[in-house]
This record gives sequence, structure tokens and C-alpha cells, in this order.
Amino acid sequence: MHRRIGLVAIWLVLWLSITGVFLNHSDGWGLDERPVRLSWLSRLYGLEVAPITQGYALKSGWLVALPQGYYLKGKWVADDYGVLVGGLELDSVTLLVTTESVVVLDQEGEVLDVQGVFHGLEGRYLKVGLREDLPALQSSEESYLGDGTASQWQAYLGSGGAVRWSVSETLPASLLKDINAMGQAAQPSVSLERLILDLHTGRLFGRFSWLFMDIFALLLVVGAISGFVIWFRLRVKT
Amino acid sequence: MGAPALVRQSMDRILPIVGLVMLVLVGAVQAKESPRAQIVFLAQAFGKDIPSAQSKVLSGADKENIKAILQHPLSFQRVRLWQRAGVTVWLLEEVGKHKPITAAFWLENGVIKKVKVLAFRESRGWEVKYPYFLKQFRGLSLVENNALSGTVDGISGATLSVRAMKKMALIALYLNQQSN
Repeated sequence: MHRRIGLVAIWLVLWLSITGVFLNHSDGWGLDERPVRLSWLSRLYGLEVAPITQGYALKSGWLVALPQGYYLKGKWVADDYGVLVGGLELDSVTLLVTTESVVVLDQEGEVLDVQGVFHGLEGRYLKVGLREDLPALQSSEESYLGDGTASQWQAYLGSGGAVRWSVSETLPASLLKDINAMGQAAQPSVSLERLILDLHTGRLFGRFSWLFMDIFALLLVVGAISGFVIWFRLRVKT
Repeated sequence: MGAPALVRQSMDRILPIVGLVMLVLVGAVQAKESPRAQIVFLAQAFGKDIPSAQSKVLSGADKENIKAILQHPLSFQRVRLWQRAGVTVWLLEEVGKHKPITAAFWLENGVIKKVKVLAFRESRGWEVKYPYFLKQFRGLSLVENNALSGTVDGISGATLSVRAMKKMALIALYLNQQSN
């Protein structure tokens, strides 16, 4: 019995030791920054990308939310600023507005600044639009009106009627293929550290896999005790 | 002593501790993105009459120099500031490990007078928010090769946050030098 437990437990010991060593050196080896892009793994973690069909029409292109970034007039804005609520193209700048930030980009798509509460824009941002050629922003706290370059904002008592809000629209068929290809490329991935951690705890293999690991661990305990009992009996005999 | 009395006595000891922990947690959550801290900081620098915020658009040379300080490409080209009579407050952001730290730098006559971390969004390295660390920046100025005039001691476990704070201090001093 003890030998059989030992034969089974040896695999668990190897498994835990190897994954444990990797986890111990995760920071040093940069495992938390190494993405693992495998379609079956994305399915397992529920990270599959749903088809993209909606976007915001700007004067000279489209603004679309991708899994980890945004499509802006043919370019990929790689940072994740939050949930997109609208976009606006002014003469010299373009605004990408999420629930948390107002991202101001120049004509080349380079970020000028990322604005938020410390720029005087309080609350969660709900929508953005044009009011007499100036940017208007509606937050959960206040209505704001910006200048032509969106560098200064002032609270105003906006009725909302005079503002043409940026609204989500169905993307034209000609763009769908490109944007969805970009969306697939931007698919969120699992870090190597997360994968090894879930292998270490057994959670990767489903809902009850941790139970399996618990049974293995108990086998180790039984093996250790039975080993001690055998050694003790032999010692008494001799 | 009966069991109910013992329970009551234990609760009397535990409740203040639980209350204190809750206060600290609520404080930490509120401190995360509070514009109030910024207003207080500006009022300390300028008094009751806070000047309007301005935006400085970086020139090509500014971008190159700031890129050299950051040691990575710029994620901004416009900086927010408040300025009056030799006093300037710069609002800057730099990523610690994964998320940006937002800090305000109060400069007077080319010297850092006070620093305040307005938002710290990472789970580690939050020690940089505390006065014992921030007071090290007081009196520092810019010397040759865009370096700080004095040392800022690191904090064990907060290396990246400390590095981000030092870079922001250098950028504030650099921008201040350029605007004067």
C-alpha cells in the first residue's frame, strides 16, 4: 500500500516542484509579462472575442473598440483606456472618450494627453458630442464644454438638445473584415505566470480539479505517515 | 465572568480595530482618484485664488529630452500646469509597473517645494504616497545632464514606483527650466 501511494505521489511531487520553482522566479524571469496565445486556452479562460459590428463614425473614418485597444481611422491605438462611449473629430484633434478617460489625439493618431478628474472632468463619462463646433461631454456628475483643442473644459448647464451626440452605429461591410482581423490580433491573452499558477493549483482542468489535487495531497500525507510507521516498526524489531 | 460578558469584552476590543481598518480602507479607496487632494494642493501653492490651468504643448526638443529621461517613448505630448509669479504646479503621470501614477509637483524658482501623489493605481509600491518618502524631493533642483541635485532613497519593494517618481520630478524640473 505504501509503495503504491509512493508511486502515485511521486508525479504530484514532481508536478508541484517544477511549477513551484517557476512561480518562485516569476518576477525575475518576467513570466507575468509573457503572453500565451493559444485558441483552446482562450476558450478555457473565456477570453474569446465576439464579432465586432458597431463603431462610432467620425468625420474622416471610424472609431471602434477592440479587445485591448481601439481602431481609429485605420490605426490601432494599443492602450486600454476603458469602455468606449463615443468619439469626436475636431479640426486639429480627435477625442476618444471612455467611461474613465478623455483621450485627446493629434491628426496623426498620437496621444496628446489623457484627461480625467485631475483635468476638472468629474464623474463617469457617458457621452460626447458637438455643440456649435465645440466638444461637449456629459458625465454622471456634470455637463462640460471644451475649447477647440479640448485642452480646457468648463462646466455648463447643458440642455442636451443642442448637442449632436456621438452614437454607436453598425459598421460598413467594407470595414468589418479588417476590424475583426485587428480584433483577433488584439485578443486578450493569459500570462505564463497565470497558466503555471493554475497548473500548480490544478484549477486549469476545471471546476473539480482542485478536489483531485486535494486527494493527491492527502495521499502524500498518508504516505508520509505510513512511511514513518513502517520505519518505526522496523526499528522496534531490530 | 459569564460567557456573554466575555463576548461583550472581546467585542469592545475588536470593534475599534475593525473600525480603524475600515477607515483606512475607505480612505485608501477615496484617495485613489480624488480631485479634492489636487484642489487642496493647489490652494497650498497659490492660496485661495488658484490660477486657471494651462496646457503646454511639448516641442520636438522637449519630446526628445523627456524621452531620454523616461527611457521609453512618450505617452503624452501635452502637459497641464498652473502658474503664477514664479510658482508652478505641474501635473504629471508615469507608469510604475503596469498602471500610471498621477502626481503634482510644486516648483518655486527652479526648486521643488512639495510633491503630492494624487492617484496611485497599482497594488504594490504605494509607500511612495507617504510624506516620509516625498519630503526627500524638497529642495531638489536640476543639475547637469538632467539629473537631480540630491539623492532620493529607494524603498524596498517599491523600486519601480520610486523610479517613476524620480522621472516625474526630473520632467517637472526640466519643463520648468524650459518655460522660464
